Amino acid sequence: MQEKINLLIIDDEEDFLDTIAKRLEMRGFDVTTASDGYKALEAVKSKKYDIALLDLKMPGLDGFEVLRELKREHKYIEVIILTAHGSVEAAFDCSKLGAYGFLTKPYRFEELISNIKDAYETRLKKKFENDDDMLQKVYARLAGIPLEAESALDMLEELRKLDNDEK
Amino acid sequence: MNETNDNPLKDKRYRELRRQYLVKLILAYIAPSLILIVFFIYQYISLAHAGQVQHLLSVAESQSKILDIFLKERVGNLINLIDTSFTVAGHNAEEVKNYYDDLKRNSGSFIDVGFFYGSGIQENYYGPESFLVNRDYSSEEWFKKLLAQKKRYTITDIYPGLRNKPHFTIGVKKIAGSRTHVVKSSLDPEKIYGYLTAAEKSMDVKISIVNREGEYQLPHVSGRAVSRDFFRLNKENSSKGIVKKVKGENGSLFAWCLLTETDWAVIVAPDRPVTLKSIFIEYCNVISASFFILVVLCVVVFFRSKTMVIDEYNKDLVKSQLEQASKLATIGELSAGIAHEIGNPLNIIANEVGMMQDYADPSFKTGMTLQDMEPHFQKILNSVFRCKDITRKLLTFVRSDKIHLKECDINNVLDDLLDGFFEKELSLKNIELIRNYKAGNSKVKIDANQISQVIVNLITNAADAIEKNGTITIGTEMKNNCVSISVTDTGSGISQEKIDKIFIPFFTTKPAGKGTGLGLSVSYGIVENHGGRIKVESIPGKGSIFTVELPSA
Repeated sequence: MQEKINLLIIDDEEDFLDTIAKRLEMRGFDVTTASDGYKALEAVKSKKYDIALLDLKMPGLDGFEVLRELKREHKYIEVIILTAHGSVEAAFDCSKLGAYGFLTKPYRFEELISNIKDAYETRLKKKFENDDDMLQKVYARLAGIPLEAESALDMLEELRKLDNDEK
Repeated sequence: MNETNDNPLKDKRYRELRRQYLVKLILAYIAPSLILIVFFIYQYISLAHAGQVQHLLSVAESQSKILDIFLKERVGNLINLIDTSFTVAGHNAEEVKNYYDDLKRNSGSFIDVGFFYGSGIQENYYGPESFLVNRDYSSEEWFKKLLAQKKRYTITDIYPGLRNKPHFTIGVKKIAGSRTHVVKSSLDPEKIYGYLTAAEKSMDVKISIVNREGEYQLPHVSGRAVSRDFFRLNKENSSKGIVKKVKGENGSLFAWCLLTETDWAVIVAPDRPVTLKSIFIEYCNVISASFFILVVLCVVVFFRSKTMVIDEYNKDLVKSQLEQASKLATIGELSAGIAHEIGNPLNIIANEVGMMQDYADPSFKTGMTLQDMEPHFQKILNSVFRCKDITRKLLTFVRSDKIHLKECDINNVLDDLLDGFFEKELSLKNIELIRNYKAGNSKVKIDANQISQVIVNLITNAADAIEKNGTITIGTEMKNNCVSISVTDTGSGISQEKIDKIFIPFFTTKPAGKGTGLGLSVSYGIVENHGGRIKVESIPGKGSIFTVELPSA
C-alpha cells in the first residue's frame, strides 16, 4: 500500500539535493536522491517512482540519456527537467523525449510544486486512460478542491488518495 | 578603422597604400609594355630600314649595270670605228664627218670625234670645238695612260675641260706596227644622267656618280659627295656596299656600286635624309598606336589602383567586423556557459532561503534554532562566492583591441585559466584535463587576456572533438627561445582536406548554431600579433595537437 507520492531527484549539485529533498519531505513526499544518472537508473530498478526531477548537465550520463531511459523503462513516470541550462532547444528536445515540464534554475518553489501536481494529474489521467470510472472519479475529486494557489499540495493529496484507493 | 572615414582614399594610410599599388602596377604593367613597345618599334624600324637598304642597293646595282652597258656600247662604237677606219695615211675632212655622223647615230651623247695617227697631235677632228684640231694631247693624263696600258680604251672622269662644259672622254687605240693610232670622243654626261634617273625604280632616291676620289661626276657640281673612305674600306674587292655615315649633314645613308668599265661608282641615297624627325613621320602610326596603348594602360593602372585600395579598405572593414563578430560570438558562447554556472548557485541560494522560510513557518513545527541553520548559511555563502568566482573569470575575457604586453609566467596564466572554470565544464563531459608543464618558470611577454582566449578556443575545440570521455592535455615546453603551449586531445581528429581550412574565418565542422568558425581564425590572428605561430597536427580518429609558439621574454 503506497502512502506517499514517490519522487526521484537527480542532480549533481549535492548541496541542492540535500535541501530540496528535505523541503519536499516536509511536504509529505517520499524523496529519493541520486547524484548522477547511473545512480538514478539503479534506483528505479528497485522502486517505482511517480515523478522524477532531473538535471540536464551532469557528468557521466547526462539528463537527456537518463530521460530517454526512464521513459522507455517506466510507462507512467513523469519527468520534470530542472536545469540551469535554459535554452529553448534543450526544452524542445526534452519535450520530444517525453519530459512533462521544464524549469530553469533558479525557480520558485511554488512553481515546482504546481508542476509536480500537474505532472501527477497527467500521470493519473494516462494511467486510467481506459478506465472511465476512475477517470470520472479523478475529475470529480479535482472539482471538489478549491482552485487556490496553496491548494496544489492539497490537490496532490487528494489525487494520491485516489491512486492509492485504486490499488 | 576610423568611424568618419567614408572615402577611404582620403585617409593617409590608404593614400600611401595607393601610392604603393601605383608603383607596383606601373612596374608590373607599364614598364614591360614600354620595353616591348620600344623593342617592337626598334624591330619594325630596323626591318623597314633593312628593306630600304635593300632597295637602295638594288637600285645602285641596276643603275651601275645600265651605266656599264652604256659605256661598253660607246667604247664598242669607237673601237669599231678605229678598226674599220684604220689607215696609215689619215682621213680627209669628209670622211671624218661621216664617222662622226655614224657615232651620232649610235648615241646622241657623242659630242665630237678626233683622230691621232701615231703622234699626240689630234690631226683630224670633227665637232663643235674646231679649235681642237692639231692640238697636242701627248701630255694629257688619259692619253699617256692609254698608250701605256694594255687595255685598248680609257674613260676619263668628267671635267669641264677647255669648253667649260662638263664632259668626259673615251679614247681607244689601235697598234699598227710601230705606230699607235688613237680615236677619241667627248661625251655629254647629262644625257646619261637623264637616262639613269628616268627609270621608275629611281623615283624615290637620289642618284649620283662619283669617281675614285669621291668627287661628284653626276650631277656635275664641284666638291666631294662622299669621302674616299668607302672605296678604301672595301678592299675585299666587293663591288657594292652600304655606307652609313653618322656625321655629315646629308646622305647619312647610301648604297654604292662600282662600275666595271671605269673607276666610277653609282651612289644611291634616300630622297630625304634619314633623321629622327623623318623616322617619326614615317612611323607615325606605330608610334601613335604605342602611345595610345600606354595611355590606356595608364588609365587602367589609375583605376585599378583605386579599386585595389577600395578592396583593401573593404577587406579591412570585413576583418574588423569579423573580429567584432568573433568577440560577440565568444561572448555568446560564454554566456550560455555562464547561465549554467550562475544558475546553479542561484538555485542553491533560493532553495536554502526556502528551507529557512520553512523552518520559520510555524505550521511545519520543526523547532529549529538559528544555530541549527548554520549549514544552510554556509551553503548560501559558498554559492555567492561561486558566482563571484565566475564573474572574475569572465573579466579575463574582456578583450581589448590593443595588445598590452606584460611579462608573465605562462604556467601561471594557464593555471589561472584552467582552475575551476574548465575543470567543471569538462568533468560534465567526462573529459579529463591533464596539465603537463615542462617549461619551468618560463617568462613570456604576452597579453595574457588574448593568449587566454586562444587557449580557451583550443580547449573548447578539443572538448567538442572529444564529445565525451577522453583527455585534454595542456603542455608547456621551452624550445629554441620559444615557449610552446600544446593542447592535445583524444578526439575525432581533423581530416587532411579540412586541416588546411581550419584557420579560415567561418570554417567550422561543428553543427549549425554550435560553432561560429571564428575561434581559430581569431586565435591565429592573436598569435601572429604576438610574433608567434600556431601549428596543428592531427590523426583522424586519434586526436589533434595544436601548438602555440610564442617568443620567450
